[in-house]
Amino acid sequence: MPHNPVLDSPLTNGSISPSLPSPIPARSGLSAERSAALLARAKDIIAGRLIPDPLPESPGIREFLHREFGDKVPPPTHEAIRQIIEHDSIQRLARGRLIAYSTIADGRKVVLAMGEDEIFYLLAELSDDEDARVIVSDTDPC
Amino acid sequence: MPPSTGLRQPTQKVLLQSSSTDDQTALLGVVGLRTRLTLHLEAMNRPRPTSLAFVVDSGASYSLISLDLAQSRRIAIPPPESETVILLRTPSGPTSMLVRPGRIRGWWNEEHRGYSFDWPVLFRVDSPRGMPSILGLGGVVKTCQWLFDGTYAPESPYGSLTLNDTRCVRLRFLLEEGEVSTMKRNPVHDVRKPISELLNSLDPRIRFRKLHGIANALAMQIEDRDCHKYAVARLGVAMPATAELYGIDDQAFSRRQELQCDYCSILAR
Repeated sequence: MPHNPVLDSPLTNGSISPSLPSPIPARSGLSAERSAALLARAKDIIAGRLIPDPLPESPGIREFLHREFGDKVPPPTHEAIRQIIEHDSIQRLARGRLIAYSTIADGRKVVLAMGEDEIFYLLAELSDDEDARVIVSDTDPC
Repeated sequence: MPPSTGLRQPTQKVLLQSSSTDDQTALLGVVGLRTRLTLHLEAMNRPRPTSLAFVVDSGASYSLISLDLAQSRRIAIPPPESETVILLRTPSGPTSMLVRPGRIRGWWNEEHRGYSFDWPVLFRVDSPRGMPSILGLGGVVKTCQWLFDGTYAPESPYGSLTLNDTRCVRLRFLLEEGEVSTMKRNPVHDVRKPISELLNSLDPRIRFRKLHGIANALAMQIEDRDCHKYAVARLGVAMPATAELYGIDDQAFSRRQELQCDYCSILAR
């Protein structure tokens, strides 16, 4: 079974490892145990019972932003910087796979599922109200 | 720009995002940019819309969604009989894909303010995994304006995309709102007036929703000025036929033939 940092780390919003492969699980790939964990985590996040930590920043992202916008006056807002870093972290986490995410109370995007298998399973199991709070998006292959 | 009205969707601004890594940027000497617009689409048997992010692609002829993804979001999709193969020319060479032409209806604002957009889309059969949903120009850009602006701003360092709803809202509503009271009178209004008055007398609207639905379809066909005359003619037939369902005296629609002729004469202009 491929390693899934989102599922394997229920208290964080995933993690990034340089050695992490980007497998695309087979269509039959989800075990009952993983499916249950995926669903429970998603429901808890949507309901606000679980607030994951932010994704770790990609190495070098701060230096990159400094090169890009270091000379700008006025400088980018904190919220703009937060969004760029968050976007970069999610892209590196998903690496070209589809993601299902929800925006939590503090404005952060929290990934609930990655890849068609997880996403289609999740969407089939969520209630109408829960589904309405989920956005499905592609990601850029990194 | 048309006058502002609550019937249009509010202007939407989305940020341009970096689509390349630090390494790629160093290698290529440029930061790749892309923008995604979240659309809230009507779904079958769902009280609330379902949300899907689209890559806004001004180089795409058509809008495109994975059929599997649309099904998982319960978006209404056409039947298999509608499948057709289209040929496309892409930067990586010519390619073909199996699609079902259909439509999506939805909003670009979370509050679902204004009329929903009704856009053509191709549902791609057997799409590759991870395929982005694409918002292309065909059938879309005639209803809204896209303004890409790469100017630096503290809140949008890479720039932004501004979307404006430019649809011509139905004249009747504009007249009621008094926004275009000085506008030159549209002959369509004169033709539709008898039917509109009749339908407005059929309250509650929910009880006569089939009739109101046909009338609205008829109005949109004509007022958008790109209608199909056979569609209009058949809607003209559908209205009195539906009136019979409600036990409404056909006398009330006695002018239908005359009105149909009037509609068709407008189409011919």
